[in-house]
Amino acid sequence: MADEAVVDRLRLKCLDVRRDIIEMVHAGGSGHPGGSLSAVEILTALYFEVMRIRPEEPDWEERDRFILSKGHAAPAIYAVLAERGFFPVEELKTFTAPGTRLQKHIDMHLVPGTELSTGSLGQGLSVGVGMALADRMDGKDRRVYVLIGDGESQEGQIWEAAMTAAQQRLNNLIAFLDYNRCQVDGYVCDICGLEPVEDKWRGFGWHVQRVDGHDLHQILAAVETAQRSEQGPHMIIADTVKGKDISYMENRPEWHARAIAEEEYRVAVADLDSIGRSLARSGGAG
Amino acid sequence: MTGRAEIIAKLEQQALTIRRDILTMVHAAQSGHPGGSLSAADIVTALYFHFMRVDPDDPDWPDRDRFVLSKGHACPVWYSCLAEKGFFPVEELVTLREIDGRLQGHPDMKKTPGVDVTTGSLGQGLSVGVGMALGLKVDGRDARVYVILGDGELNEGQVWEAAMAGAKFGLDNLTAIVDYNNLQLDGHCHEVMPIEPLVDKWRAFNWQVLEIDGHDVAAILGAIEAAQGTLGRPTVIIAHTVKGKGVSYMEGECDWHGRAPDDEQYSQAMAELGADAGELASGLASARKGSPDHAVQQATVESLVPSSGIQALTPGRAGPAPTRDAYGEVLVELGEEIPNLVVLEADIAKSTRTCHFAARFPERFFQFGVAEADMMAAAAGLATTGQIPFASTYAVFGSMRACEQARTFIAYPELNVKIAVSHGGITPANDGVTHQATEDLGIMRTIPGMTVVMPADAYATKALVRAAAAHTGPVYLRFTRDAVPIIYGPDETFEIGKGKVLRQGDDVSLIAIGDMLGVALEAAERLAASGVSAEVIDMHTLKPIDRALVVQTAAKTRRVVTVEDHQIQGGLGSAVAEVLGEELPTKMRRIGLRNTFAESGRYDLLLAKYGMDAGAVAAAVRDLMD
Repeated sequence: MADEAVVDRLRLKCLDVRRDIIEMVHAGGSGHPGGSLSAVEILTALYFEVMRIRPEEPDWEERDRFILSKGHAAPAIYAVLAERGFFPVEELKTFTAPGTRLQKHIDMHLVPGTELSTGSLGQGLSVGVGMALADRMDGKDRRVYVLIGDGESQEGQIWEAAMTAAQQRLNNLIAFLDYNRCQVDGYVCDICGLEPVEDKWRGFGWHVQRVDGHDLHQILAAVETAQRSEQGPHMIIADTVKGKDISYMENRPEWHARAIAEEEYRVAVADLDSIGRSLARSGGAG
Repeated sequence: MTGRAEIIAKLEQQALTIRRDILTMVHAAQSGHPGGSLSAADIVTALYFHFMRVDPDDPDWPDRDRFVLSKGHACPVWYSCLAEKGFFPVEELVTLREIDGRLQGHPDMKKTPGVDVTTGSLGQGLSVGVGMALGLKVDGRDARVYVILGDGELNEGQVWEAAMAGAKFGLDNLTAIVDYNNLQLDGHCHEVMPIEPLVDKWRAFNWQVLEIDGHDVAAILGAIEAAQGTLGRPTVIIAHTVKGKGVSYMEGECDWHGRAPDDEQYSQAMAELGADAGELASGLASARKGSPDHAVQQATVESLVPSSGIQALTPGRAGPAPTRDAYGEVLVELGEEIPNLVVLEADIAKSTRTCHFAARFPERFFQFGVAEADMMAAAAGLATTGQIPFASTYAVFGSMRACEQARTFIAYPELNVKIAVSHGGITPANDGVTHQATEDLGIMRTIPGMTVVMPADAYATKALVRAAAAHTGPVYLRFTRDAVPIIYGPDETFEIGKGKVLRQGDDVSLIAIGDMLGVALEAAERLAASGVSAEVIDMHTLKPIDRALVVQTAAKTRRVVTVEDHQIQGGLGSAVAEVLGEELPTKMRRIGLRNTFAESGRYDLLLAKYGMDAGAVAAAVRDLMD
């Protein structure tokens, strides 16, 4: 079980990240809030506790790698990178503005701390496999973390990569499924369901764990288990809520990609303020 | 049960006939895929001669059951069943892979009666089957769809996309049968890309799963009946089979995936399959011997054997060699020199010739199985860590199946990946359209930052692959499957982006690329005999094209003919026309495929038929001079 103080700190950071996401999509006038908000705890745990990285030296040779295969959740990774010090938090306001480094989908040559340009779904896991192969070949103990979406799990290339990672027994590869159950056209179960999702990944030869993707204790524990296990590659299926913590966005597929209007923005800020107050009351702010 | 026993005995006899037909066809063509045809023979026979409602007199009968051979290379077994069933004369079987024939190297629905869908590019048949099953349901027809999948092609993600869709739509009229012979082109499935636990995989994708011995006719009948009786979901039958089943020396031998028997081997096989003297004699007589195919096929078989070392290139300027051979050779040399050079492969290492690198540097060789999209994106991942990946497959798959991966994950981030592909143009002549890449140059040329190169011969290949390895950034390198003449000497030097003038001339410029340089040189000879002086240029780098040279030669001769093994749109003809249109409008003719697919047949015959041989080039020049 992770240290309670660590988790408290991460909870507060998650709140900051959510505020950043809302600010960015509101300021940018477009973006993908729903799937950004569902991934906040996973990304925050990775960047503020798990991964070996140096914000002042993004290309540090020994760093762990992270790939956001669901590249449309760029606001989430931009917020986490900025909060972690890879670039100024003020820059988040430039999201999708002309001349910005913060493209709607990630450009690895523009944004410090990003490892891969993503945005075309279903392909990040294959790239992660390549990175993990290279790390093993070079005798490095670096790890590769990949976050995939549920909708993109309908792409066959995900299963090609799953097969390859198992063939290569890539113990240094840890993937998360952000299972928020919503995709562009509706609910995943109606579009093309993934269940039984654990059986699928086990059937493809992966070590599988399942967590509540908003429970930082469970996320950290699962990562630790994966790091200790020799049975990789590792899949952590994270049950999440699309649009998490914004009252009118939760579990609503239409918030996959949508601009935030003024009134909606005020409600979102109020929702997050209220969470902030309850965190303070419960001692999370201490 | 007497009735049942009789049915089984009859089907077993029929399957023997089908097996003999398969041997006779592949022997006659001296090319084709016997191993995977024989492994599926009992299953396809049971379907066609017991279950399927089809009408040979009305192949398009709308209520017919559908059959999809997703592993299209096993088409001899299908052709044989169709012929024996009466869709076309059995005598026609020996025309397999012949130019102007109806029996293409991979199934072609526009040519062969009874073929419901064109296949040959692996991993796609189940998706088509899903569409057919949906269509039949929409129309309220109770016809069924049977799809035969190979085991190797289960590496393709598209199979799992289709599996998800088949379950989602509850397609109980769809039955997939996996011909699980456990051998794919590069070796045993568990070595190339393990697919186990296979039953668990299909169950996790919500299919009914049945597992049988695929040579036990009673078990085949039982499983298909069970599938027919299941409502609400599709069924997959995992049929354990033996590659080459029925022919002793082929059984369980990977080498017999795509290889034709010689006369002696054919005679032995036919004896084992119970042929009488008459059938054997007529089979022997039907072989298309003495054809270049025969020689090429034999050469291919020899070079398929992974060698202890690398065979030296033909010394001097002696005779023709596939440029993929030189690729395999130089790759090993580069492996010695460049420690961070890695090779990725998609189950055709013996064919792309990366097998030599694999043997020498196993720790730097990554076998992805039949999964080109995954391989290409993984190459991107390897490149981000400072490796220099060479990703190899056939041109048609590298440029089209993995096109978006190349565009978005290699070109857009400007990663240092070399996409090195064999079977460019129509050089996989006998294999037919599914394996011929005649659009790839245009596709790759359109992608920002992609360098596109096709060397003309073995020496050019060695030099240009070296240049590509030294170049930082993505490069598409295209090689030939069939042999092409040696044009250069071992000391010739090449530079990416700099064309070469091989022959000076005043009347016309022949600008050629790759395997067509030899054709252009031959045309120049012929033209010289009739007093026309042709300049011949090797434009080995299609992109960035040597603009200065194009303009310079056009200014000199005022007439330009481009010569390429590609569609005339998008490739060399277009690139040259773009330059001249902007710089020096010049009358042109373009030699290449003209808005058509080619077909199976001998390479030289195809060039002639499709207006791409020296005669056609000379005619275009005369037309331009009129």
